[in-house]
Amino acid sequence: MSATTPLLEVRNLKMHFASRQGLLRREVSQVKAIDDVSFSLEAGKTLGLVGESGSGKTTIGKCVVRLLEPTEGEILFEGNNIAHLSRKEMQSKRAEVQMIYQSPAASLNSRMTIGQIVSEPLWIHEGLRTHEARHRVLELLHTVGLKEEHYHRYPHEFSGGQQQRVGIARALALKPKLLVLDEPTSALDVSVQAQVLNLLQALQDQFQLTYLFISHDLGVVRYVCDQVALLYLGKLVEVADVEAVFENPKHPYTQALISAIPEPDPGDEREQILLKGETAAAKPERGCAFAPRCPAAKLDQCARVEPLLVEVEGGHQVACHLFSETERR
Amino acid sequence: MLLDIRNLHLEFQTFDGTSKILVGVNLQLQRGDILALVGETGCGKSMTALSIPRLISMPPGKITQGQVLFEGEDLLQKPRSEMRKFRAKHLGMIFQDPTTNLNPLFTIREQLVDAVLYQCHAADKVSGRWKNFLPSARQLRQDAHARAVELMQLVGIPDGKRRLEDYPHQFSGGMRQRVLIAMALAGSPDLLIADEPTTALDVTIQAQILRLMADLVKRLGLSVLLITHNLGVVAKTCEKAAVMYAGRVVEQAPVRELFLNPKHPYTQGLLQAVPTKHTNRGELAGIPGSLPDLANPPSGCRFHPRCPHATEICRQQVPPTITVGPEHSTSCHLYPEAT
Repeated sequence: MSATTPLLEVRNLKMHFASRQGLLRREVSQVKAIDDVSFSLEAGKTLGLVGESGSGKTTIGKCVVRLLEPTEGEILFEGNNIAHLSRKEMQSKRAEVQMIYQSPAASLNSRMTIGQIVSEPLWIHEGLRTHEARHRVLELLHTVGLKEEHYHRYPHEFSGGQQQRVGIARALALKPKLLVLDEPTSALDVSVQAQVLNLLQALQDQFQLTYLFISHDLGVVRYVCDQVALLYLGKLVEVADVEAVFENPKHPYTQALISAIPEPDPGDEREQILLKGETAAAKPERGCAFAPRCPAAKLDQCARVEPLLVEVEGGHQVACHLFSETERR
Repeated sequence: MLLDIRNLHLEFQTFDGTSKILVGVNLQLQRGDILALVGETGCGKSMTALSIPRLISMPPGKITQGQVLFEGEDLLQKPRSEMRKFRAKHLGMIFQDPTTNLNPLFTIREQLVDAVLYQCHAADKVSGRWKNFLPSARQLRQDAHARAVELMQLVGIPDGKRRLEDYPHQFSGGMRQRVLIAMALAGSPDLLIADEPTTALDVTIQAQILRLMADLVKRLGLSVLLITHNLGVVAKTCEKAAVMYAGRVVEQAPVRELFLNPKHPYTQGLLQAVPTKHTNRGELAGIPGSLPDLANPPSGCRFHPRCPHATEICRQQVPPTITVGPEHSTSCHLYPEAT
């Protein structure tokens, strides 16, 4: 790790949602969507947040762009904590952290033209009217591979891939440093997905962007990311460089997840590790959240003590009792 | 040959005119095989599958040409009443979203027993409401209940007998899909049509469901038409695959052959568009452009505007389907017709 401060650092982030019931909306239970998550992301890099549905990956993304205020913890953006800034204070920061959403159609206002959509952030942040921003909008459209003639069209006239390009142009309008990409290609077909992934990589090189890449598709993550953080039920189970995760996965969950990706290669003879049960099953009260499904869980700590995220090799962090020397004794 | 679709043409009347959804689909499925039907959104793979049980509403749909031969019998010529019996006995179908295919107001038992009754008996025996009160109907219900428990076991739902009394919302996504597979299998069908069965599921659950399907094929001698856009799923589960583009099957081959030796430029592009562990940064190749508008399709080969090898003949003539290897056929002008 270098001595410079990372662009984004998340420390002990917690996001708990209260589940309320009855006339008085009394709190009956808490859903711990994110529970004590820490990671850091250096400028110019791509960190993949990976997990199955319900693992809390989108919630982390929303906390980072502050669409949600976290319950606890710090989000350091260029060294400043933005976790609890007010709406007003946050507004000036928003220009630097932008988000791209999963469903391109739902994230574009169907009553606005492409020109209006892409120039809207310029109006909000710089007070530029649509016609004043026209030149910059056209430049942006060009950057993402759209043409001048698309300026006056409406979102429904575009294909999914093109709509996602509009979303990218809008996110780039304010020259952000960090982009949170929430499943940017999962709604797209593979041939179009490849185009969008290539565009994202080209833009990263061109503008020195930093990506927080949220995805459940491990194939895409392997291709796009420098580092990977794996989540299971709101907790980080493994954080490492992309090669380390794919070549030498440590956590039993990571191993099972990687073996479950169907490789588009019929000669692939890897043994699949089939997990019992499903993620949706309630999280155990104590111990490791993965223990009920874990093929390797036999240490009695697994059911009692929650494993901590510890570094096992250079930069490779794992939260599993099989690897925490200090606790095994 | 269990299923043989020959030269199927399907049109839809839309406000923009007539959309030619399928233009000459040819597809063969042997008994006991898992055949993958691969393609991107809008290429007609679901429409091809829905043509088999004749579930496409007509109008606006219209089959203008072609045959769907099931064990040599043309399904398109069957009268509607016979088609109902045929579906109950020979076909099972599962879909992408298991949630929308279960009625939230009824328990799994009610829905599964209904499926068993209908598929095993109703088609010829129980008709008319009053028959439900006969002692024989009661016996039928009891048998059906026993069969439902058996089916729950077959699809690997633990504690199936008790879980029959649960409502759909008490099941997770993977378990709901298992319930639907159980329903589809109620009448011991010959052919299971699975339309994107794992797309809505997480990878670890997807692996479980695919394993289950492969297992059922072995144990029950089932044949499966698996519709998917995920090439990884194809490589993992299927023996043969057909690739569709804009209403045509452009290539059909055994899976290993298709992945190692793809002939059609679209198949080649599709395979290169999926990042694998060997793809380096910046080397991922997409297919330029996007799917054509089927109301106003390109002339000749429908892939030519996106094809890197397109020549003059591609713009003018629809390429014929030719054999390029054992069980390997493609329709592309790049390959000379065998004489």
